[in-house]
Amino acid sequence: MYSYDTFDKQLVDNRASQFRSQVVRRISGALNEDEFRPLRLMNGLYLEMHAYMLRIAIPYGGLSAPQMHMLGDIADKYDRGYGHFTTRQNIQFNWLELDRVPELLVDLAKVNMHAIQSSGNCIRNVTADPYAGATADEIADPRPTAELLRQWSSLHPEFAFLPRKFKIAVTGSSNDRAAIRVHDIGLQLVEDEAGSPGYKIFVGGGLGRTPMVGVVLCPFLPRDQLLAYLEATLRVYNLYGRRDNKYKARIKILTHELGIENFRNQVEAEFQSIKTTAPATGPWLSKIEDNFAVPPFEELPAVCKALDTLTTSNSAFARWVETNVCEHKVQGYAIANVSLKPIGGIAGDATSEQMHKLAHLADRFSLSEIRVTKNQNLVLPHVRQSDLGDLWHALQFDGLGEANSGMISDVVSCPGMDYCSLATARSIPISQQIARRFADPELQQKIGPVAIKISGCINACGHHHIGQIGILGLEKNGEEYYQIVLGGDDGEAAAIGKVSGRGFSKDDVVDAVERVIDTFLKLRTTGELFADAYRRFGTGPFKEALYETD
Amino acid sequence: MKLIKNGELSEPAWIFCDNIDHDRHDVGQILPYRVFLENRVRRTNTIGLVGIQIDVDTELEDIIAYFDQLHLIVIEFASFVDGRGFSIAGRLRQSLNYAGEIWANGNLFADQYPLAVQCGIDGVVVDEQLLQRQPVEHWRQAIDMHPAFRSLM
Repeated sequence: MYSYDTFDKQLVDNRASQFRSQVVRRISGALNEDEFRPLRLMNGLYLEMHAYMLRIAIPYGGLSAPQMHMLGDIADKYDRGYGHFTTRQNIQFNWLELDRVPELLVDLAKVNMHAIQSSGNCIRNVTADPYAGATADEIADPRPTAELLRQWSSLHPEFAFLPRKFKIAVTGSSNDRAAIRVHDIGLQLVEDEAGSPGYKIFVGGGLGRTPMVGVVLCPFLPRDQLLAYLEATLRVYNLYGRRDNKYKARIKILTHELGIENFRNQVEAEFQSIKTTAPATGPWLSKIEDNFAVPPFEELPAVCKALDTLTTSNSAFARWVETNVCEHKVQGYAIANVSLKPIGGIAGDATSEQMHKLAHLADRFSLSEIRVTKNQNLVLPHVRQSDLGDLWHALQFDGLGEANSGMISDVVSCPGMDYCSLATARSIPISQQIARRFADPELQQKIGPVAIKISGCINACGHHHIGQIGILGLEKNGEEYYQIVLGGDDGEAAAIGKVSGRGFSKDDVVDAVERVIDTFLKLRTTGELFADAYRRFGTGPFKEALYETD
Repeated sequence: MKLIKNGELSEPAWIFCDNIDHDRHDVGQILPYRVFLENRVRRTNTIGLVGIQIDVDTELEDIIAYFDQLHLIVIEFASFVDGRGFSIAGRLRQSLNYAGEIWANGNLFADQYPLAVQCGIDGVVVDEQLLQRQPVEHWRQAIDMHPAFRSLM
């Protein structure tokens, strides 16, 4: 993991003091509410339906065991004993008192964490592939680049008051687990024909009211030019992004209205004028790479007999291995996905006890590392295969052993109207009902991987546009109803799902999802995935099944 | 006019003018960029120090030719949440190598002062009402308390 240097440390300490002073000045009236609002948002603090909510950044999803312990302590000390891991690799605490937030930030700073720019019209928490540094399918670890962007964007004076929020994601793999094509900027680490490192840059992706898949801004940018190119891109956006309508203020609208060629030309012109004066990427990135310690992997045998034996003798364990465990780049290790989606639970929620337990498990089994995923789950990235059995037993004991990673009960859900003041419908109860409906492990196995994502309003925090089955909660005449969206994809074949037709009541929407799944089971060839069957058939048969009673 | 610059409050010898005032030689005149352009043939520098007011619609590249005549560029901020002025300053300093004085006018408040300075803005024009809520000590404190920006180190 990255180790903070003295500069990083001082920055988070100073930021906590600065925010304390801002809160004091807000209370005294020196800052009015309009002035205080962007300041608190740039420290991750929202005023929600019931209380203040703090969104804490977990840069590129990486947590150490001591950091996870601190999150557990914070849950008990300042909140109601739990926290919520989000689709952008953050954690949110929902029941805070304003005057205690500065003290909370001091506690966070003790473990090198912060809430800087986890909200506001600025560059947000940079996200990355949760398997970074562990997966065999990456050409390079994306985390040093993500850390570079965290450092470069943190308190960037020019980009603190952008037209709208700005999200960047990075992957080192062609298997996109970071959803880079639905971010304002998506970076893919690539090599040119000579093997020199660089980036393929996507721009203008995003969800919300106007979902769009990003387009290629630059097919290959040499690694050393990254910061200059991003400064140029952000400057063009800051100067020309729309400010007359917040729903049209994201960079996707600017690139769409200008046309990608025109936008690219403007970025290129700005880039040419600053490329010698912008911060140099190369030395900065090298310094960061030096601060990423390589985990102390052991030399392990290629075949793990203990794993083979337990997999053969214990079908529940075998199922968990099949769904939740992935190949590691180092022989004898595995990547273990830890589900925060127990059947009937709240997606992404973890209690303080679970956080402490996970920290202990990370210490014991995963070289003290934990990752947060965009699917509101966690990952123990470096587990010896011989430890998988013990890990699984321990997870079972704490309600963290659900064998459903990527399966139909692994539903992504925003907090919805249970917490969020923007929501128009509840998301959590619907995700719980779906998980219960498809709880049977054998049924889940039969269905195979399906990504269901639910948002409680058009702002799409539950990413419904990119669910293979997306559900959008809306409100009409005081009643909640739910639109079903089909065929979305957040990976390398990114696609925005299509609305199937009229919405369903809260009592009917789970039956409707079941009709989609039944149709799939009837149509599929042996072993065919939902996503492949949808591509083969299109919406036709699913729509027919959804509205069969009309 | 009140200005905060280098953490100090001052009343600089400058005035905002809608048109050139040929009778004022005692103060610098800050002219709308359009007025400056219309009058440049009449050697505006004979009236003393000259500055221009620019906003987000000003084509910055066009100003380069007049850099040596300008003692001051004032960037108009339409509101404090409109951060375009920061990029205009960035472009003037970084892309166009403007080395003269830059001020911000509009609605910036104390906690934005460090950002302005880091973008190359030398001074912020403030009104009396804001100074009552946020006296100059708050502006100094904002600079002192603002965590350093790594890129500048």
